[in-house]
Amino acid sequence: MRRFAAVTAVLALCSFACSDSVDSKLGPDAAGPDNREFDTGVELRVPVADEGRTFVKLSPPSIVVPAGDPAPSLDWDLAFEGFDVFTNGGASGTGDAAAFGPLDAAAFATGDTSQVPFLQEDKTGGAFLDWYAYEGDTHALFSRYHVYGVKDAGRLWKVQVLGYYGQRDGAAVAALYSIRCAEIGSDGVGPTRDEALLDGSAGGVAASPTAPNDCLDLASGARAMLTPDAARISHAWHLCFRRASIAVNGDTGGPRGASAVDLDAARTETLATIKAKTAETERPAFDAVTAAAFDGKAFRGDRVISAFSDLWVDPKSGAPVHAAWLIRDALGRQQFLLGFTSFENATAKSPATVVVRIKPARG
Amino acid sequence: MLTLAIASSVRQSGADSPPGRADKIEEIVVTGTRTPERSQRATVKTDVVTRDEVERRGATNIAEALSTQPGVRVDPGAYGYLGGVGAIQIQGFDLQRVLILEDGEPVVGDVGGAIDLSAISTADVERIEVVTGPASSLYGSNAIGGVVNIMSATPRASGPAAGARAEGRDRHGLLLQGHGSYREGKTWMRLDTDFFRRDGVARSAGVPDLHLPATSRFMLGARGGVPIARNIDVRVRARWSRHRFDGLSSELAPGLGRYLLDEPSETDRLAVHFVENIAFAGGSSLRLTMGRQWVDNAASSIQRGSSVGDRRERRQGLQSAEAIGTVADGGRTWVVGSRAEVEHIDQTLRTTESLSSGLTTHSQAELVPQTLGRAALYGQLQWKVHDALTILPGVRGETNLHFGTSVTPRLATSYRPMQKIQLRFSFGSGFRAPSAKELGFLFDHSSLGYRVVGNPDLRPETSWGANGDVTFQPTSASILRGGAFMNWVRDLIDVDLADASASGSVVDYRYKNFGKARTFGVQMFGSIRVGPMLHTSLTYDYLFTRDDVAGRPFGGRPPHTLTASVHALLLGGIEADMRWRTSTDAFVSESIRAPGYTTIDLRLARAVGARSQVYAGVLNVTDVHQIPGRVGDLRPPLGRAFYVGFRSDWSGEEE
Repeated sequence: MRRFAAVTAVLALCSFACSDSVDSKLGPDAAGPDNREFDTGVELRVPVADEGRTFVKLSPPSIVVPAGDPAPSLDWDLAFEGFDVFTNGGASGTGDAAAFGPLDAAAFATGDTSQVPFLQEDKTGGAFLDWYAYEGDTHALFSRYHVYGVKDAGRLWKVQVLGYYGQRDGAAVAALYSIRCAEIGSDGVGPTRDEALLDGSAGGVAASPTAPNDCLDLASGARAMLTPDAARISHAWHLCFRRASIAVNGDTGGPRGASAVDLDAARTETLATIKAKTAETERPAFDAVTAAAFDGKAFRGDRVISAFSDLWVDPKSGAPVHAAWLIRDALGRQQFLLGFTSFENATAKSPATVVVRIKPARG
Repeated sequence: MLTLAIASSVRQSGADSPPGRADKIEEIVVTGTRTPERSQRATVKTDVVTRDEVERRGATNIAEALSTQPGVRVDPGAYGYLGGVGAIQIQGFDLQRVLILEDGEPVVGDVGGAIDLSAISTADVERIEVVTGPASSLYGSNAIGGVVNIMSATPRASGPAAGARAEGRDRHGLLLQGHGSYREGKTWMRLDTDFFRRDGVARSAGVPDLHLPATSRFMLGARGGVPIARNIDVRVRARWSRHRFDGLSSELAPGLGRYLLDEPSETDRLAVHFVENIAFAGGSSLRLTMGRQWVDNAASSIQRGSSVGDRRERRQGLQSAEAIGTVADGGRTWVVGSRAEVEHIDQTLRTTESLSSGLTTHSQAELVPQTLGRAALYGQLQWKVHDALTILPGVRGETNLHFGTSVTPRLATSYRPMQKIQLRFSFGSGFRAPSAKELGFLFDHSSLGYRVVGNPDLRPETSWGANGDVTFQPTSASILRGGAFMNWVRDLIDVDLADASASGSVVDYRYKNFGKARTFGVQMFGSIRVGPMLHTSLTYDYLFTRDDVAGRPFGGRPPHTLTASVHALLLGGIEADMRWRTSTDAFVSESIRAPGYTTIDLRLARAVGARSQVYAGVLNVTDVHQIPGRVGDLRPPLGRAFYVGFRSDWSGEEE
């Protein structure tokens, strides 16, 4: 067993299995939908209001209204809310639902899901969702060296993730983060500070989900080892590092009200380009960021991320991406393939009506 | 088949034979029917690789000895995922569907289901018998594709005898073998030792990783026999070996650089075997055996300079007792036997991590400790109806503590309508009991979202197989043979990736009986000897395999294989050997084919005095080799290898 790579993979996949977006996705067809692949299965028309959730059961495909509180219910598998899709598992529900996608649309027609490496439960995440690129051959995580802004109570910091690996006990250890950060004030940019060996290993491969991890207060530089539950109610941090995810203390991330933005979210690069970067080569890009760079940027705290988040809607056309998803139902018993064919009468807040094809997957 | 040609070419095997001596004695084989038969006339086709042939093939272990044997395949490149073990394929079956025996006793200590033949030294081997086709009617589980029986030598010469072999190879390879024996009447003892080492093979330029690990092997063996009564003799065999790999890999930690991982793997194996033979009047006999094996393996992957990493420890053991009665009754020979076995296996993974609290080590049982018990009764009649016709029905019933009883019959027949022609046909059943791993494995990658778990409800795999061949021997110096086989297997055990069950956020993949497959093959063989100077043979093997569930061939089975050999006596007393094997490309997956390839081995040897020999050779002359990282590449992981050596045998008194 290639121990070091495996640990990296475990720590990466445990947290944001799909957060490396295009690098780990299996290639939706970007050529434009003609929906020929979606002529099998059952068509379901899902009304999605500007506010509130619409719940869907996969077997048989139907709109459902869970009795009582939907959170602990197993009566639903999917939930639509605005342009978000959630599954009944992980951070979204008590079920065993999980999903993977986007897959090539042909997977819907053929039923071939052999490419699917794992299913991802819903998780919390936010601006730092896309901080790394994942190399499948080596299971290594490479920083994209994006520059992030973190805002809290009128103060603003810029942050750049320098690496995911640190040396400890004579070994290279995954999830020991190093970052650089600097406060941006009204009088300019403050001194740049490096923070190394931020421990996101969360107890290692075999640890329980409650193992603590390092959380950092950007203002004071103070660190605290907090469990996920403790972090969720703590004001003592801005960023928490847990395995491959970096949480922001705001919205679902915590009570502090901090928010963040990825200044380079629109940048697309090949893995080779990303691998060629180093902390030194990306220092100028970090230094060049001033307060003006954040003008008009939308800061937000963490939220729930599913395998669909930011991936099922084509940002250019506003139409659903011509692709398939594999989803396991809330009971954990059966898997289904989904393909979104169109939105009808979409507004800025919701797709209004989502037309989706659903069929059971083998096994 | 080729070996039969050479057997007829021939040489009395055994290290006690003077090098280069060529006695025209046909080999006696026992594995196919558990009764001694002349190899060319055996009722069940049994190929033989003699000790001299092993040396002529430049082999230092059993995998190398069989690597160009027609009708079988030993492609370490096909098992890169197991560390490149020397596993054998017979009639399209491999891993636990081929039974490996040492002096009739099953060898335990598999790696991923495969007995690594490269871990077994040739030092004390007299011959290797290969029976193709199902033989569960005699040997029970695993004998679906066939049986390989590695037979050790007994001293033939009276008085003291000794021998030594020293050989140097590429990559700082060194082979040292030695034996000493003493025989007086029916009392004898023999000691054998073997040492081999070789450097690793680099994966590619620019990284320190090894494609093949450095390897070393050490073996000590002691055997002896003594008569305790006029018609009773006792034999004891003990063999200890240590096989070590030293792998090296590296991994890039972005931002930190490249880190080395030391990957040692060490296997200790001790086998003790006790045999009592009781001879009765008229050629009948009773053979009582007791055996025990211990196999301990420890494999690690540790970051160099630290103690961070994994260590996997596996312990396996087998205890057995068997009684075999042979009753000679004129033209009928009855074989009746019973056997009981108890097998134990467990496997633990110990992981050391660097955590904020310091170095932490935790263990988990990957293989729930398993104790498997089984008992069997078997019987066989070898009925020589008349000089030309032999009929051999047999059946074995085996009761396993886990899944109940399996009954495996076989009917074989041999017919010689005329002196120069022999027809053989056999039809029988085989089975494979679920392994301890398949019953109790726990490969826990919950943190990656999945586990592979054993299934205590597994049933045995079962097969039916038919084998037939026709041999035409126009002269004493030539043989032509054509044969075919067909196997049908059902209830194959594997992990069904299409049928997983979710438990929380973890998906469980289980071993299941869901496979169904067929294999079919044809073999054409010809051999001719031209005086004492030249022996040559040519074999063509065709293999068809079909996984009827997946609707595709088995991966890594070249359909066409051509093997040729030439053994010549040159001027100056030099013996020359050439072996040539061509395999066509093979299916690996719908998008990948393994490339075809040709290997050529050459060897020259010359006697020095009456008892010694110097030799030199080159294996894989054209240096065809695997490309590291290429998926499905079956070519030899090790490229061209030169060797030069010296062997000498001495005995105080000729036999």
